Amino acid sequence: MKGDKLGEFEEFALLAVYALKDGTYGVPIQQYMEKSTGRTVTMGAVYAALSRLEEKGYVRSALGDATPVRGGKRKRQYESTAAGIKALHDLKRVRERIWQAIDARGRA
Amino acid sequence: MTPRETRPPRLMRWLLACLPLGERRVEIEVDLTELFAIRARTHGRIHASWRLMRDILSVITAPRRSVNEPEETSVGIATLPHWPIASLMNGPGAWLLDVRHGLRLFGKHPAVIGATVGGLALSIAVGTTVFTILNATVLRPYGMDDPASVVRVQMLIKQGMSNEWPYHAFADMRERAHQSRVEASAQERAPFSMTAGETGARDDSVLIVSGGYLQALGGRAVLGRTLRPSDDEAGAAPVVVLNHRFWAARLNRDAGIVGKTVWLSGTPVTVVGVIDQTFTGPVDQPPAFWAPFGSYGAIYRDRPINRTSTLSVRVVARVGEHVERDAAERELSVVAAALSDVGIRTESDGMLPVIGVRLDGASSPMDGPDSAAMLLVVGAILLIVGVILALACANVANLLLAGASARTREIGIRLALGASRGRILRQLLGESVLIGLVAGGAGLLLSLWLVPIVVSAVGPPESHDVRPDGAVYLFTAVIAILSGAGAGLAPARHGSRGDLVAVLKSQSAQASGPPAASRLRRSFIGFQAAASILLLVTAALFLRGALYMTRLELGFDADRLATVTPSFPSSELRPEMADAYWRSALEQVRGLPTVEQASLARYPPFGGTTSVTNLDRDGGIYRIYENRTDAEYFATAGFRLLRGRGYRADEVRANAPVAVVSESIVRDFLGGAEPIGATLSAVAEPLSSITIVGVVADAVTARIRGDGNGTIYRPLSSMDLRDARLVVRSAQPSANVRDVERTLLGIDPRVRLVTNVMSHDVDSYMNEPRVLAGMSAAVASLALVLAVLGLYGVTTFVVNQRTWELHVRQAIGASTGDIVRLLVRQSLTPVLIGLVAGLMVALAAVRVLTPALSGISPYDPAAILGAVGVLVGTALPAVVSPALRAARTDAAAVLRQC
Repeated sequence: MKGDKLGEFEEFALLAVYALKDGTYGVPIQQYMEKSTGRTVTMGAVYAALSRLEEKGYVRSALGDATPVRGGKRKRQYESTAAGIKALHDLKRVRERIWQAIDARGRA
Repeated sequence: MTPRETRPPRLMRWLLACLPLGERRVEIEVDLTELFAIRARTHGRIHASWRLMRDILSVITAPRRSVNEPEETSVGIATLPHWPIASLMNGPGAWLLDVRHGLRLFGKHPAVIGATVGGLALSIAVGTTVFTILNATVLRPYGMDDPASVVRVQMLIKQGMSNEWPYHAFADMRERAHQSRVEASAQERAPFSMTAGETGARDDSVLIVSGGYLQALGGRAVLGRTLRPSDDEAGAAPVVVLNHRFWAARLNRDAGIVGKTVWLSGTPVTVVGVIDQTFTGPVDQPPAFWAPFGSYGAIYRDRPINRTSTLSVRVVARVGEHVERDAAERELSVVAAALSDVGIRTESDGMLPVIGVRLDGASSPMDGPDSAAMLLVVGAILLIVGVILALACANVANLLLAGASARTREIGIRLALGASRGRILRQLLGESVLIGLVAGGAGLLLSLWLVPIVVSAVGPPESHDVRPDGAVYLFTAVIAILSGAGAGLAPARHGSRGDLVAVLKSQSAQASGPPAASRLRRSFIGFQAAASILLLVTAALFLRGALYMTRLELGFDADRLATVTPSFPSSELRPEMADAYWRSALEQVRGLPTVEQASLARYPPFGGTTSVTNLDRDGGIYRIYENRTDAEYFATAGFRLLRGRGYRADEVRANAPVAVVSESIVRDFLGGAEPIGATLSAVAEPLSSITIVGVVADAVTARIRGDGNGTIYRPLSSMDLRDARLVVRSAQPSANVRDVERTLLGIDPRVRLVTNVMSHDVDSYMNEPRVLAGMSAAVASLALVLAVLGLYGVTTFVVNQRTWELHVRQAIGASTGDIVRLLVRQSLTPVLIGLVAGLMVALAAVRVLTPALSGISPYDPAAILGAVGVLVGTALPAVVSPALRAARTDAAAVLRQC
């Protein structure tokens, strides 16, 4: 268990939720992840990642209203929480710092 | 792409619905369905199905926590990664954990599990295929309303019965029956066309029915209307209703067909409806269309049907609600017995009048007087399926037994940590049931591919609906679960019995399998050998039979012959009409340049009908075929005349008491005495006035199987002319018979003709043993592969377990040969015991195959020795190769490691 830390796959999933804006659901998230990473992403993995993210408080979900588009069935909609967005930015900053260090050493 | 094409295949939807997804089922189903649609649009259905399968697997196996309710731990795919946790041990989720454990097992030993599960899948595929075909052809009830109350009305006479009634007898029964609703049908054929003048390329089957037939049995219309009693009234316009299948296949589901005029046999008739596709009526093969009796006269340019018609019909009845079948039978019997002019005319006893009726069930092909025999056949087929499944199960059981022994330590630890024995038992059983289910799924998919292949090998593919239905899915699910559980039961009991203390104390507890396990394994091997030899002997016999067929001398020139069977209009019954017809027909056909010879015979070779007398002789039954022919028949068909002469044309005209017999009659009845001039009194007393004038060589003219056949040929009498068939000899029968057909239609277009090319008829007879041989060889090969797979697996396992012991033997002086001999002897002993037991069962059982074998004895030594040779020849390498591998490893290195 990684505690509150984000695994790579979880990070992609969280990024996808963030990028897709509020009210997105399983299918667009899976599609987005597959397109942006170029890897095969199974639905089971997406559900697992989303439920872990939810447990860590990085996303929240609610059952949305039935829509005529999806045959009148309700879907679970996800949105990123403030903590989730902060965690993404933290990770990004960490990476940027490391890359800056590497670049600086390269120039030296 | 239509919405239909973006839906997941039925099987997948069904699978999805079966998954234990807990309360999130709807969300997951909707997501996966939507993903499928997207992928189907972008990458095609195959890709989408494959990805869907992976997604389904990922949803089951991926560890995942419940989302909103943290305390919900035992529901659905909720997961607790920490193990063991007591709350999971007994809840409904525990089973799922077992399944997941089982799935992971697949990842660990892919090759072994793959081969074993593959074998089981193949066996389940064979079982499902066989069941699908049985289900479609004999088990499934006929498509009717309440099939149980539909009966066939059989005519009882003094010494037998008949299913053919004259039309007026049916009309009387219909009028006077109150306990049941009586309807009738007559099977006919008619070429169908959409335009006038054009005659159809082939005859289509049409069932001429009483107007209320479809209503009584439940044949409803999906388009237009069904037939009704008013269609039989005098002056009613000719109408027809179409079979849904015919409408879909030949008319491309033409929605505007109702009200259109089509041509049957060149007569315009109006289509009034299309019948629902689930309706078949109490017949094995539903016709292309149904026409009322009222339209018969118009279609066949004959007189309208009425009480004076000689048309033969088959009578069915629907027994009324709250009426006992016996009561309906008694009522109809009284009506039938009063019909003084109805009965069966026989040559010996004259007219045998009807004495009553018998009502036979007609709910499914299994129902009726032959149901016991059918049940026996179906049971025997399913028994073979069961044997094959048991073979595959034994392999899975062996694998699991090996697994359970190897995992003694793991199981011991789990027991020590507090897992109950029941839990361990459940885990092991869960694994094997999972193997069964996976194999079942694969087997079902395989069978979807196998069924059409088998059906096209056995018969015309369009005759039955062989798509799997609920019964097939249920059958597959049941055999998958049963074989999974059956395979797992013994190993699971054995595995969960692990001795805790011994296991935990000693590392080497797993080194040698407990004696109970190895006894079990040996008996599995013995059973596999026995079952394989049984199936191998059967296959070898069929193969020998098929080989015999290819060398078979028919004894006449089948490849130069064609036959034409006329059916005269039923109003033209007089023999003079047939006589005149044949006189000009023979003259004109013999005048055709392509025709070498033409003659008449009542029963031409392979014509589907024969006249047989069964004599009790030397405790067995001796079949004598009787035929009536004209004088030129022997030369036309190419029978070899051995002695004497054929009868002359004047003898035929005078219906002289002369006969030509086949040589086996001379051999079997006259004991080598001079046959020419002798009478047939030795054969049967009523034939004593008949003198033999010639002997022809034996020929195979009807059944290819069976023996003790002789044939007596006698001159064709004027009474036989109506039932005579034209036999035409030409260089290219299939082409030249068309000229003959045209010539005959020119003589009288009302006479309907059915032509047969003899070589095709012979081929279809030959095909049966070929198909039997092919099928049984396929089944036996599967059995052999399964047995060898099991033997190889077990030997490998035993060798691995005994490595240490074997090398100690080597270290103290045993040679490679000694080691191999030891292992081979020990591994082959159960095979040999099984082989002997199986052979004994086979020798006792093959007698039942006699009627299906062509030309060879069921104790054919070549077949039996061949089967034994194949089994021993494949079993030996399966044992020797792992033994050799063990004997050749470096003993010193292994011993140092220990």
